[in-house]
Amino acid sequence: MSSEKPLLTVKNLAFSFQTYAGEVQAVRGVSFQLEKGETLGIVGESGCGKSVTAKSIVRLNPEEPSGKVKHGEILFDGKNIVELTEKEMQKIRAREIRMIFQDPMTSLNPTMTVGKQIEEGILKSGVTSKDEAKKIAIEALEMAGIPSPEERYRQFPHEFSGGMRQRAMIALAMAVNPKLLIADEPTTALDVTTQAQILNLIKKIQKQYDTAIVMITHDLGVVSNIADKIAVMYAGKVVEYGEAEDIFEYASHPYTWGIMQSIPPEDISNKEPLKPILGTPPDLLNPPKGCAFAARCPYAMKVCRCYDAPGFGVEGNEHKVWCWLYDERAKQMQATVNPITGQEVR
Amino acid sequence: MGKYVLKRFGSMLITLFLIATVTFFLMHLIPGDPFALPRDTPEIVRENLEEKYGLDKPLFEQYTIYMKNLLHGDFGSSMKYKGQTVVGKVTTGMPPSALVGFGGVIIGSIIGLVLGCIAALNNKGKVDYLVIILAILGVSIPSFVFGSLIQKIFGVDLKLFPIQGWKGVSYVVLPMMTAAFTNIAFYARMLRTSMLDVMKQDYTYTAKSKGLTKTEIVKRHMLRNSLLPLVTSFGPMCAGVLTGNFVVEKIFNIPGIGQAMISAIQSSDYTMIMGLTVIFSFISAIMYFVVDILYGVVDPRIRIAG
Repeated sequence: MSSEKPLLTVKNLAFSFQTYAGEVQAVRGVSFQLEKGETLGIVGESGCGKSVTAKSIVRLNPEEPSGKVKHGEILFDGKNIVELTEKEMQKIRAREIRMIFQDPMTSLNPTMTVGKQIEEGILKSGVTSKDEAKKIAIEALEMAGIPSPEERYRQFPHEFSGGMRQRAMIALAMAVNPKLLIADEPTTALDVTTQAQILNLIKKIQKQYDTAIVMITHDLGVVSNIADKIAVMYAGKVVEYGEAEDIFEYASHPYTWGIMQSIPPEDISNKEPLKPILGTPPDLLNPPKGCAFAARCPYAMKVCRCYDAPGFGVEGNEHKVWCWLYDERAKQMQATVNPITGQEVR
Repeated sequence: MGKYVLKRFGSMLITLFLIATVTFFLMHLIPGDPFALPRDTPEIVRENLEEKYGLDKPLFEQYTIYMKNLLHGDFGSSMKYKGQTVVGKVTTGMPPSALVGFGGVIIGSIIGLVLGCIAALNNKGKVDYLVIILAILGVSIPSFVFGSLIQKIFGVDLKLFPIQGWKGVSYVVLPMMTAAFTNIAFYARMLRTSMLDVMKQDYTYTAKSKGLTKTEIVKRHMLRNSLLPLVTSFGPMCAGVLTGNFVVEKIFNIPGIGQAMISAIQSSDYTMIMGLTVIFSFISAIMYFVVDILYGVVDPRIRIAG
């Protein structure tokens, strides 16, 4: 860890939604850190709270009374985002933290030209002259790899293809050179070839501007490509956290094993059936006691259903796993073999 | 664009022809005729009258004669009131109808849109529920009830405005209020619904993520998109205005075009029914056409190609 203060620190964040049925605890205590220029990948299946976590950083979740930060803090550049006024937050959104969304088909206003939408964001970031803003917007479009940007500037979103729209969204976000970019499944709605292009573009821009990125995805391929650190989320909690290489090499949580084993093999000719994780994620209206994954975990012990596991350090740098299998006492009870490394859990 | 206008114009002519034909034959199916004469009138008088207006000829021949005249722009004169031409009736009846109707639409839509917007922005708040209640009242109270009610309050009790008639500016107020009431409810409800929908759209979040203030988001991103579904209703609304609001005209005794149409139908005034129907259809067709063009102005995705 560098001696500098990290750019973003999320500490024990919990976020709940009020619904007619009751309180849905979408995020239940998430912590991570992000340095300048780093990429954090948040991985997890639908409904695990990864998007809610990301949106809390820019405060784009529904406001009270329907949504509420239950506890925890989000420190960005020394300011606690949870406690800022809406006005201060608007300033941060305008200059420092930008976000790109999952579906480029709907994330641009259909009745405004793409150029105007980018320009609008630039004008919010402190640029006062319209001509200047237009110049920056066209440069941003060019930087995002959009051919003939001056012409595109005057076009409407429906005249763009899906991939081009996501490029326009990236231009919109990056035009103000933010310190942090939050990418909420930016490639999910795109086809595979376009996905690769967009990921490469994000990587290129990150290098150029030294932007930190929080990348939300359910696709391990995407994170392996781009992330420095990975947080694996399940049912509103981080279950495994560490540097990307460590996570791939020494995957330690049974849930991480599950998602890694469910990736289709590259060689599909052997017709081996896919190995899905059996069962469904728990209902976050009434989250289960203890480890939320216990009900689907083939290694679950009695303790898993009663108490939350503390974080245990495992192989690698800052690599942590929240699983009882790594407790000394568990090792005496049963010998568990890590299916990824093939070694016994130590 | 020119090609599109031409195509639209062509299909409009076909529609008008079909409407004229169907109306002509339907009208003759209704029992009775324009000449409600005293029982002891000699048969010869009736025969002479029918001959004068061409009603003694076979129906199909009457139809061809009528269509030929129509092509020459001749709508004929009333069979009921001597010297009253169809075109004359329209030119005298249209202004009061249009004044009350357009006034109602303009006042109603402005108030309605403002209310709808406020309601959506305070979703589930007190103001929101108030607007919803108002909208339900506006839709469910028929205009003859509301009209009579304000006649009683503002005309009889407070004596602020005349109850009925058409003799000056003050006579416009109550009918216009009645027409506006329904429109307020309609527009408030429509805008509220579509605005709540737009509020959940991704581009609203994009706008917010750029650091725009709430007012900027509403003004620049939400309003225009919320108005799109309302444009569709604008055509029938305008056509409805120009063809008159029979109920309001009847309650307030306004010599409008809606009243003229109803009395023509009641007395089987053939030429009047035909003429008014064709003119109304023409107005409606034009209004729908205007709306299609307007749609393109508001929504760039539907700009008409070719």
